[in-house]
Amino acid sequence: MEININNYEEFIVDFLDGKLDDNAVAKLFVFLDQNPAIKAEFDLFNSNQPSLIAEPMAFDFSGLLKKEKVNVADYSDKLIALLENDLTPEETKSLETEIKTYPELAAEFELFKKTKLVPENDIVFANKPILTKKGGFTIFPLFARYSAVAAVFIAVVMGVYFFTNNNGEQLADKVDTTIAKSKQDSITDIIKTKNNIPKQLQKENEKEMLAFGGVNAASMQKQNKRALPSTNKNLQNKKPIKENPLNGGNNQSIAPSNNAPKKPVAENGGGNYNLANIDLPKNNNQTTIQPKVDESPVLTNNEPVITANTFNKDKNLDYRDYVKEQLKIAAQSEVITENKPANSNENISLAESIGLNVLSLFNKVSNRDVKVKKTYNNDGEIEKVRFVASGW
Amino acid sequence: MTVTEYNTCVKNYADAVYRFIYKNIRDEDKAHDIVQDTFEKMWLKVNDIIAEKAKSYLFTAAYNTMIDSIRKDKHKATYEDHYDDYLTTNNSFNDYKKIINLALGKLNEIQRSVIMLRDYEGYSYEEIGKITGLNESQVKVYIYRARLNLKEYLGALENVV
Repeated sequence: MEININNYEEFIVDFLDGKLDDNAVAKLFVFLDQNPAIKAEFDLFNSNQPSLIAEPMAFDFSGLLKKEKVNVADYSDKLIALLENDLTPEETKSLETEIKTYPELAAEFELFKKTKLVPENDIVFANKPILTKKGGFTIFPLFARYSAVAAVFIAVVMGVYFFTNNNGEQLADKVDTTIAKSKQDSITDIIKTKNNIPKQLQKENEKEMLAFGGVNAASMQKQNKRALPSTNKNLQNKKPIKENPLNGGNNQSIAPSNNAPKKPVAENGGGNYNLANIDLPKNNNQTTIQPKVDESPVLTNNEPVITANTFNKDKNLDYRDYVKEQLKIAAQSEVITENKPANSNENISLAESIGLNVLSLFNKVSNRDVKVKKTYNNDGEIEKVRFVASGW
Repeated sequence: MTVTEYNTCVKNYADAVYRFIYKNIRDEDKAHDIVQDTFEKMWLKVNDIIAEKAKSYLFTAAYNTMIDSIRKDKHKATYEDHYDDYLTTNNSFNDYKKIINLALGKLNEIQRSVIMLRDYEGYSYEEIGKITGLNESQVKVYIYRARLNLKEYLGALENVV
């Protein structure tokens, strides 16, 4: 490389550092002779060559790096980890070396070792046999035991009441006998009514019909129709019908409307009778039939009055149709009630017996009238049993 | 688990469970009741529990029953009072067992439980976590704190002696 005005600084620096060879040094001095200004600059560098002289260190840092004592608090984590075998083999080896090196670290580790608990085998559960089990049975929860005890207690109380107090079965028999009797009475009354109505119809003529309907008899005779009374004055004399408390269910209520001795309709001589309040069931599919016979005092004009307050006025039925319907109802009642007692009276289930005893108890305790209402289906089976307490 | 396996559990683990509970609450009668309740719970689920996990189930049930009992009776104060009294009246500090028991009495319930499960039964952090309902890191921290507290207590006593 030839020296020139653009690169002479490099040659000068290399010369000062002693890196130039002889050939290059010769070239540099030839160049300086040719350029006096650069030679003056070169002389300035060459005479005052800058240099750094290392001064001796006044502070010794080696003392800071020596570990004369260790801060054991800093090693707690490592010592516990060593105790728990949580360190890697390398970490364990390094820490063990340090422990050997520093006595205070070893003392700290010994203290940590003492925190390792040792099982005290002298503490034993002395009563193990109570914990052991034999196969073949299961332990029930406590609440189940209480429930079972309560159930047994109730059953025992009921049983004792059953067998010590004869009222249990007697009441059941009494109730069912009353039921059967009420049914029989109702059937008898209905049959009597049924047998008497046609006779009265045969004996009486249009005059009776006038009294019954209060409409133009002639037109009725022509049309062979009977009109219903527009108003029924006999209803004013009607008194509330009381239901028999032990009516045997079936929703059949046979009750006199007054306290007068009950007279069969047939005994009224055919002329003085008042057949009223014959309630027709609105739905023949229902097994509840409530025929109610109200025997009111005889009218002063000796003319029999037949009213049917629940007769369906909207249908405007003929009186003969009415009678037919009445007979049909009576016949249905017979059929139905014939089937009932056989089922209900002879076979008393345990549930019925318990229920009757409960009612008896309730009756004694609360001093309230208690009724049993049974509903039968078309097959004569009990469909529903209701216990009704008066005032509740 | 069969009835035989259940009875084997009674034979093998009843002492350990009792020790664990007794060392925690320091009340023999209560510890006795808790062990009985624990085994009764196990018996009720005897058909659902696998024999291999019976020990873990026992300690879990015992621990939970104990915690309920402690919370119910506020037994912790009684425990510490009992050991404070013991500390002031009994000077046999050279007896290591008694000293370590005193130190245990200074720990809170969870620290005491985890360190006992670790040292007495040799459970891993994970197993202790399952028993106590903690995660592994929490178990580690509780064990670390427990050992530190025990060490400080033991160190203080040694200095006194």
